[in-house]
Amino acid sequence: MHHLIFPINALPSIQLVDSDFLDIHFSPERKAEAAFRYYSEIDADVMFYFSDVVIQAEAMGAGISYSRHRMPRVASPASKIEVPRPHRCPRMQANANALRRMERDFPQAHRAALVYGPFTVAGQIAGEQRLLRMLSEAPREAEALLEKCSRLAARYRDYLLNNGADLFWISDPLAGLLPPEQYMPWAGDPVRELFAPSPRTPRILHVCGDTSHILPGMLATGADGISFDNCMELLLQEEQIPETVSLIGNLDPVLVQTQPQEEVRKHTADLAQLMGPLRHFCLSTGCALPPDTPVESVAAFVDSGKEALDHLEPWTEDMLEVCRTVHMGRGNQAKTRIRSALERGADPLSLLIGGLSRAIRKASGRYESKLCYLPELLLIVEAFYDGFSCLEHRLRERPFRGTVVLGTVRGDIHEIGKNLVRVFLETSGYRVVDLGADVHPETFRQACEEHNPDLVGLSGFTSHSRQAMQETIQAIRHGKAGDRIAVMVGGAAVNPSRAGELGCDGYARDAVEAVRVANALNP
Amino acid sequence: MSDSKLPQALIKYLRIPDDRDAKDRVESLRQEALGLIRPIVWYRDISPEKFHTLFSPWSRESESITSLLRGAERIRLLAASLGSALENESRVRQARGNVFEGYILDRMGSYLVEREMRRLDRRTSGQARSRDQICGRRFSPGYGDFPLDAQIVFLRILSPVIPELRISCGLVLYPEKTVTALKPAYPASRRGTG
Repeated sequence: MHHLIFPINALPSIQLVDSDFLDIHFSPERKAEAAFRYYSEIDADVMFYFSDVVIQAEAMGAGISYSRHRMPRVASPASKIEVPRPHRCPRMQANANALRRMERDFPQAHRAALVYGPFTVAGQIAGEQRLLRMLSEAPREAEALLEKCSRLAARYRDYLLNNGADLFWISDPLAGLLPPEQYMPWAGDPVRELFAPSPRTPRILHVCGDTSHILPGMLATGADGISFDNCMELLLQEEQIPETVSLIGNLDPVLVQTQPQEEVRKHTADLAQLMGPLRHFCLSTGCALPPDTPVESVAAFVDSGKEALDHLEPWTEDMLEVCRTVHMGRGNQAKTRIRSALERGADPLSLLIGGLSRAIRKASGRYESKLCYLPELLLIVEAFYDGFSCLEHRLRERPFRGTVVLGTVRGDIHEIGKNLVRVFLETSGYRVVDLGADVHPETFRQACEEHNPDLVGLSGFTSHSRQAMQETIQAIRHGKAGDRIAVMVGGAAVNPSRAGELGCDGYARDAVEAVRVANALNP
Repeated sequence: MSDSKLPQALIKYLRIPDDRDAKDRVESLRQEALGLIRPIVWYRDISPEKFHTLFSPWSRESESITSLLRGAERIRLLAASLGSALENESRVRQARGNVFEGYILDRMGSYLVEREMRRLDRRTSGQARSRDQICGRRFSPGYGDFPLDAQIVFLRILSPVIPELRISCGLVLYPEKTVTALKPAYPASRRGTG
């Protein structure tokens, strides 16, 4: 699978039919119509029917609480566990019916057989806490339960694949709670067994939350694609994912749900440019979009993603090579590749975002995960600047995130940390007005009035700097735009608690975190 | 250039990546740094009374100092400085965008000034032993409850020795690569008393 674009699940489709949550679960016609109308507006490469996480647990006997206004929930564990035939379960029939219609109406797109992982279903049936205890206290009982859940999952898989699905998707949200050594026997192996009989059907695995600790196990299931939660930094995972396996992710569903379409387009394009150079990347959401997500925003996500990925397509090799050389700290090699790509007509902005900035973000992530130290990061920053020197004059526009006034406060001459913050902010698209070291509070206030920044960054190393920071913050707050400007602090003089006492808006431990804090304060 | 020239301690201190090119660049920067530094080391032994006269009120108010000096016969004041050329060059590199070089030169300065201080410390501790004294641990202003204000006294004492020495209103000595410390010497009979 290559550069597919799709949101997970089709819950917003409920808005397009005259239906509430009860109707859509039990009316095959409404569910199929909802999918038809939804995908008539959303040009997705993988399609889902409106699906809920409790469908298998319900079929096996768990008590379900339904409402007209929200998704169903497990209300009580199963008293008697059954493994029914899916064609005898009305809600499973409704899903198969929707798939048949999708196959007829949208034969060009993949249609997903969405099945929940046996471990997740076992947790719903037995109670999540109880299941986790059973793994050590009553493993045989847990095994027996899992075996039944696997049996139903296999039947449901076959039923859906025989009724129009051509892609097999397993979501296993509870599995993310397992430690690495328990993942494979309790969650990974059952998934592997479910995947095994369908080698020709694309098989995707999604586990919610941070799955970095179980990623090797997820890959060992034989999945053809791994779908990542939006809490994961994809750049840090890419080296673990072989090119034969699709790396799928991971725009924040809440962003699509709550932000204006322009924001959705911007963040989608950012993600596409960042990960698009990888040929095995598929652009998706980090989890299912909530039912009340505006359908127009879903369309904005898919359309802007396609546009961005199409735009990158001819230059992906160049971007990857630029990223690779910068990441190795080889500035001259990066320059050579950039010049060559520009001569062949490459878009400078794509080379910047998908090549140079990609390397910086990847290195920053490695640094924050303690996988490398500052000198390595700085070699990469220097290589970034080398490469950027070839691009700068060709860029009609640069990504611009905002203006930051930065300085070390009065009485303190330490500059190294502050200089690194400047460099990392600049490489992340900020314009930085660097006031230097030993800067008087009044100078900060004047700079704020002159440059109208979005943020002010104060650095301080000595304990005396705290007093100077306090005076500087007061001076800024008393200035003309004082209430609008966010202030962040960093350096050895402060910690999160001291920063809180100073009344500033953010604290950053180091230069890499400063970018994250700046982005959060200036979304 | 072989990376074997780089001392292992320096590689570890600077956390240089395991990369030949990076190590070659660091070795080149090390040579440059060694050419830029003008090390000055200084020490003076004074009595505890004199120490308290000089460093009062901070010394008497500091529990760390009171505890450290208990039973001391003499107090040794120590200083090491590399001059300002290296840190100036570090700033120039950073301003030029050579952040790796600027950072490494700065860290190299910290490493080298500490190395000078340790050498001085070892040498003077050896002298103390020959006088049948044992030395306590080295302690610097800014640590524990001994405030940075004590640097004002060091500035006064060291000005004739390090003419370019200045102090910021935040009480940071400049050149930055300047280390000051005190070290108590106890009678050898104290050995083993904890």
